[in-house]
Amino acid sequence: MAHKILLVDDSKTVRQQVAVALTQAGFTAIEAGDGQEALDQIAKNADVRMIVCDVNMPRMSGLEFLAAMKQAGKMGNPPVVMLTTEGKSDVIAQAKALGVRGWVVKPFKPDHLIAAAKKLTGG
Amino acid sequence: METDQEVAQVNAEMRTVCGDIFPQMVCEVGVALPKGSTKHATVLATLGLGAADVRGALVVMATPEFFRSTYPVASPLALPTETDVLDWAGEVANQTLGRLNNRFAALGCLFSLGIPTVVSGDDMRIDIADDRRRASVRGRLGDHELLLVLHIQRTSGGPLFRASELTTTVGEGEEILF
Repeated sequence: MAHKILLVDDSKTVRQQVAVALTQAGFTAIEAGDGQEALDQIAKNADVRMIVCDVNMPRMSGLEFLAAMKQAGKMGNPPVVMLTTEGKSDVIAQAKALGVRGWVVKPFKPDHLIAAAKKLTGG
Repeated sequence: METDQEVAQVNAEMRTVCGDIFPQMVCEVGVALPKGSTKHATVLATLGLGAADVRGALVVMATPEFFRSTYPVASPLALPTETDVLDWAGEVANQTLGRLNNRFAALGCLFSLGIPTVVSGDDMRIDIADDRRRASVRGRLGDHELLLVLHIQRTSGGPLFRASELTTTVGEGEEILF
């Protein structure tokens, strides 16, 4: 059965780009437009095996989402990989301290993201 | 930007970023803003930036056809919708300023990005209060044009790039697994 991955980005275009890459590699993708929607999707989909999350989003940012996950004791399960234009080392360190498992700077290379997804989902 | 040298430096950074996003694009920097308002369908995305003593904004302006022709998700079944076009325009602004954010951090200017706002219409105009303090790039891709305008300044005055703010960054396309 295909592993389910949650894509969190306020841009539908980016979600589509990532979804196309991951579904071609055999994963199933579900989507959320911000951190709050992501929390809702996780509550409804207990079988999510990995989360790919943007940083800069309205309503609830990626870092706020990580903090909410950590507070709920869910950080690391499923693992979270950030996919963002943000590349500053201090922001990455902040996310790492919250338990994020990976960081990919846009524009993403589909092969790299698929390799990371396979490694983190065991698929 | 307080000096011509800073404007030239920011123009060069914008040209690089523009070429990274649209490799086939022919770019010209330091261009004049269009006089008057557009008289054709136009999509305009704006994205603010800020920090304790930095403020500014990026404006991205092109026709809907430009964004439709560069839409990155190919579908043999359907052309990008108007919603797709607006979303992509916002993402172009986001990726442009995101890349500039990383490049500026490595030069000594730190700021955070806002959320893109996108509007479309057929009678739009860009006005900047102090026209000397802006960088601009006009890119041509086939029959289509893209205009990028960046306004950025230190509210405390002085140089835009400061050694005290030099920060390491992860390169575009790179990934790190912890």
